[in-house]
Amino acid sequence: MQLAARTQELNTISRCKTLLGTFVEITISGNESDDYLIQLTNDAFNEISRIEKIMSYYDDESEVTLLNKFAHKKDCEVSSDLLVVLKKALNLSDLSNGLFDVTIVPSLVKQKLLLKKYHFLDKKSSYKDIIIKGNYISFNRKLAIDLGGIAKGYAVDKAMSLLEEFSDMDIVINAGGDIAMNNSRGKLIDIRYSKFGNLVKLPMYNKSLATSANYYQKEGKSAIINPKTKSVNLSNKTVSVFANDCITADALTKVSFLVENISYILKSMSARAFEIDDKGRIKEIQ
Amino acid sequence: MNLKPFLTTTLLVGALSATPEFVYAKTYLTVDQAKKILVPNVKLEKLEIVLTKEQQKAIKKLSKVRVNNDKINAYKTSDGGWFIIDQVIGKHENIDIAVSIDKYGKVSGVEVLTYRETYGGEVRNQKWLAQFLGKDHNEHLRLDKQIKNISGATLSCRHITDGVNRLMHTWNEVLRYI
Repeated sequence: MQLAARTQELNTISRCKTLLGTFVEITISGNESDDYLIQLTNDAFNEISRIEKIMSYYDDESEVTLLNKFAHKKDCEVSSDLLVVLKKALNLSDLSNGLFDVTIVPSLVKQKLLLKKYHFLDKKSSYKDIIIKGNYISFNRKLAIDLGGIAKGYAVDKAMSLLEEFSDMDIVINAGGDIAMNNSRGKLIDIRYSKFGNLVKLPMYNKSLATSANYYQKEGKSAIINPKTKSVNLSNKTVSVFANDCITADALTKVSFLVENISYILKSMSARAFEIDDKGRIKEIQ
Repeated sequence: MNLKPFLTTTLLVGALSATPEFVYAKTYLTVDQAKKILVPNVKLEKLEIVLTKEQQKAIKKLSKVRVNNDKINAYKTSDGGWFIIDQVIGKHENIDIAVSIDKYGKVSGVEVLTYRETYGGEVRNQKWLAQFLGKDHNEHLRLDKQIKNISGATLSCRHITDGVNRLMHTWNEVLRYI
């Protein structure tokens, strides 16, 4: 009740814009004017937009496109943002024994979840062909990367880190289900588990949460693909992961679908994962 | 969550047909707030614009997006740009957006004002949808700004991209000559 009373006194601005290919909501409550809160949301949206410009698969000017075009021919210098995301992706690839792999572009194209931009990609390529030397990236084979499974979480983290100093405000960033809260303690969250929009509630166990499921995909399609067998995961379950940061939560949702015994990965990243079936039954993945 | 929009929507649905399996609405900015963000420090003149059949046809041909409404809820800005309130209709979603276009026809900003999701068939009924357009935006102010935080799989925003594309062609065909 105390929290509700406090929230009512605060001014709140909630905005929703289309970024990262999805709906990004930013809500800030604070003892400040509309203009001030709007300025803060502007800063956060601008940061997400900046990350999108670096990580976009489609944008011809993005660093990801630069890598996809040239990294198999030469070393390409990239920003610290792309380095952080790629290092995180490769770390998770190692931990999951290749079940998280940003080089599965051909499978995503086959699923019509990505448009075909590159021809004659080497079918033998995997994350192991991505080489990082300092600020430079090169590919050992002709491959293409897509950071769709991890960049959204990173963008949320970056936007939140800009606003971190405003600890007296309540800040929530939600990018298509990847959620970060600055004051998560005692908060509840709704998790969608069906195409009909049914929701279950969970406590916000950590500052960040991400959820993956197939209910928005057309029948027979899925963005969750086993990189080794190329098989498509058509499970009707929903997986939510709580972690210290959204980049970890975002990436781990995909891995949780594919890795049999994920507890060691979750523990090593201080994360908790929950599986929700199509009846709304919740089970912690251990 | 936004209690009032939720109740309004639910009651309307209930009056028209059997209650659907699921309805919810989220409201973000009022029209006035969106104006402040997208077209600050300019004067706005509200104009009643009705597209002719030929104009609708041309816009559809160029944007490859159907024109659902012949009326444009538009404001001309004192610096030659436009501020438009529009509605985008997906399979189950019905979304009000505010779009600003500069005097050269470039989209300078897009804000989602209201997002509604419905299961039960009503979303395809144009009349049912039309009743929401342009209504209530200013009433949302301060009623209940608590947004329900929902984590789910990624929902594509393709319909918005299509809607904005349609408005760019609307500018090119019609608004630029006004």
